Amino acid sequence: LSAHNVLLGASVATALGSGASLYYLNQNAAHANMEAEGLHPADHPFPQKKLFGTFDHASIRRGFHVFKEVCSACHSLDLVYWRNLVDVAYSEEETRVMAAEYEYRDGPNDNGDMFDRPGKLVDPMPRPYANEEAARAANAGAYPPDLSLITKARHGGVDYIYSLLTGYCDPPAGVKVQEGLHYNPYFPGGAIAMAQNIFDGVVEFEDGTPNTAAQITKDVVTFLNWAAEPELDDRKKIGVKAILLFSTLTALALWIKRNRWQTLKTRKIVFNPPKNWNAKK
Amino acid sequence: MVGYFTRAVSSFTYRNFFKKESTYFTAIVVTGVGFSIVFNTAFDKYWNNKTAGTKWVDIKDRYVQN
Repeated sequence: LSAHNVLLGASVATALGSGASLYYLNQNAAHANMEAEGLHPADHPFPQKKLFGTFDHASIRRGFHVFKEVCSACHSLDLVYWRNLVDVAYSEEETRVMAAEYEYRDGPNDNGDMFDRPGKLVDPMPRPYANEEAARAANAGAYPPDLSLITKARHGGVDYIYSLLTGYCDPPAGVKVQEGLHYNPYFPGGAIAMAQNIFDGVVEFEDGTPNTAAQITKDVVTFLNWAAEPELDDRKKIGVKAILLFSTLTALALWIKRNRWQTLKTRKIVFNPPKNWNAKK
Repeated sequence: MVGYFTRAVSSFTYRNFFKKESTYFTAIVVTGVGFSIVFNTAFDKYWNNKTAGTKWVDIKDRYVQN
């Protein structure tokens, strides 16, 4: 720990630290077109965001109810099947009853005809529109994206979706929003085709949770997060187990290696020259 | 306590488990299975306690009709 080494270390740390900081500031500089990036969302305390945090399944259940009532009118959820909800947010009987409320085209039957039948657990979530063209035609040319993976498919994740849904406001003075679009500072560009759909009391919760707009949005965002990452609970549990086991094994391996090498590393090799080593012949 | 019996324990383990490959392998498998059962049971109990009230199994009694 000489003065030279300390000085060297401090110089390197200063160089690297200032270099990293200046690079970061350069990449994230304020500029005139930040509206194109969208306002950066705040950091919301979703429990599943924490390093070892998992989903609140009661919230997933309320969120699916919100999705069914409000969002499924325009948004599809193609990658989620009724069976995915079983033992996650609803019991098997409840899910069968919910699925049976919808009609699905099946067939052909023995006559060769297609027929309609009530939904089963194996069916996917019902689509609001048959295809993208129909969706665009019904929404003034804008396509309501499929929400199965939306929290993974958008920069900002759950924070962005939550801020977007609660972030509708009047545009600032001088900003004109095209007819048919709505101002939302979090949406890149500022003008989003979707109108605000979540207001206080727009949905009633069966478990009596107060249905403020913030609560409704929090629950639907949790549901969408689950739809995109259904494996999160198991992944984090297995992750903690893996960290515990591997760190123990690593420490064990390091200790055993040092133990076995001790004999070699502490040996002394001594050369005892004969008495007449330096004697000239 | 372990330090006092280190030589005896080591000799016993070596002579009865490590000398023959068949006993060595059996010891490894038994230790592995045993550790796996103990570790998983203990960890699952801790994890379920830590996530109490958030999982489906915790809330299903409100909705399932038996």
